[in-house]
Amino acid sequence: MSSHLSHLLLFAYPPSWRRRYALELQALLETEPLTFAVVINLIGSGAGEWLRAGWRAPARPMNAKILFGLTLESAVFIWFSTMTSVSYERWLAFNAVFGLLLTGTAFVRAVAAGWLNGFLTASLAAWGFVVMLLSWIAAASDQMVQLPFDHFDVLSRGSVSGYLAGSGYREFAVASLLLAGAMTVVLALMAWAGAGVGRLANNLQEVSR
Amino acid sequence: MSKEKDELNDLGRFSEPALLIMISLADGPKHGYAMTEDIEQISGQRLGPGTLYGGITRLEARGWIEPLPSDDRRRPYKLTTSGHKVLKHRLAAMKSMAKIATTRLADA
Repeated sequence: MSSHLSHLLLFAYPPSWRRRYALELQALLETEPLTFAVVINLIGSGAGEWLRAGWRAPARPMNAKILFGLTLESAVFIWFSTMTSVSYERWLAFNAVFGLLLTGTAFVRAVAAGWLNGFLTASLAAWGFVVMLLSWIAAASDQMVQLPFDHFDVLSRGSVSGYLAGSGYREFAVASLLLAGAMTVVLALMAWAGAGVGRLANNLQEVSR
Repeated sequence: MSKEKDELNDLGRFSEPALLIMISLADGPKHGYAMTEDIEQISGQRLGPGTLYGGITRLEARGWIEPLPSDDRRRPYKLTTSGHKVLKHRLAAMKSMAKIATTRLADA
């Protein structure tokens, strides 16, 4: 097999694997005749290594920067939620940005644990984010969901401040706090678990040696 | 059944190629091409390059084989002490299984 073709076939493997084994596999491939079976064998094995790399990538432990970022995001969210001069549309937009920040944080965090963990965690985070956003939109239209507090009539009052000035202020504040806290905790836990899976796999590998 | 034997089974579809690689390395270090030739000679089957390196990757990750320094692109591998132990356990299990099967065949 030509060195050019064997070099191309090596792209079936993940970069981390290629860094370690590419030279010696290429040397072996140059001694092999090019057959359909060899090409299929390499592509199949390469796919297996991608999966393996996804599960077994080294994980980084939760660090202070991530915790600080999540706390800061939550604090800004709570502060924004209690502002009295913000229209409901702006507040929804802020929710979207906040959700994206949390989702992004979880995604970046989980990617460090391997692409497969990253994908699964980000999917869960995105799902959680959509549910959160939909719940507010649905609540605004007051049709689809029943939130755990009464008299959510923001639209009829025209603004969040109008609602906050009404009788449901306390319930609204508590619900906002609970939602922000729950989303932060859930996303942080998912990211941590994503990293934990990779770390656990590495630890088990070490123990088994 | 010992822990080492379980782990060899845990290699899934690579457990058989891994066993053949370990058997090939039992009499001394070899690089990829030499292993392929040796395995073909002892088992009658030629491992594809992807399968061979899939097995090598997993065996090295478990610390059962290790690479030796080389100036060439072809890197030789050797069995480690734990790899030697795993292979010994596996061969003993196979021997015991073969004995049972032979007895049953004779009784049938």
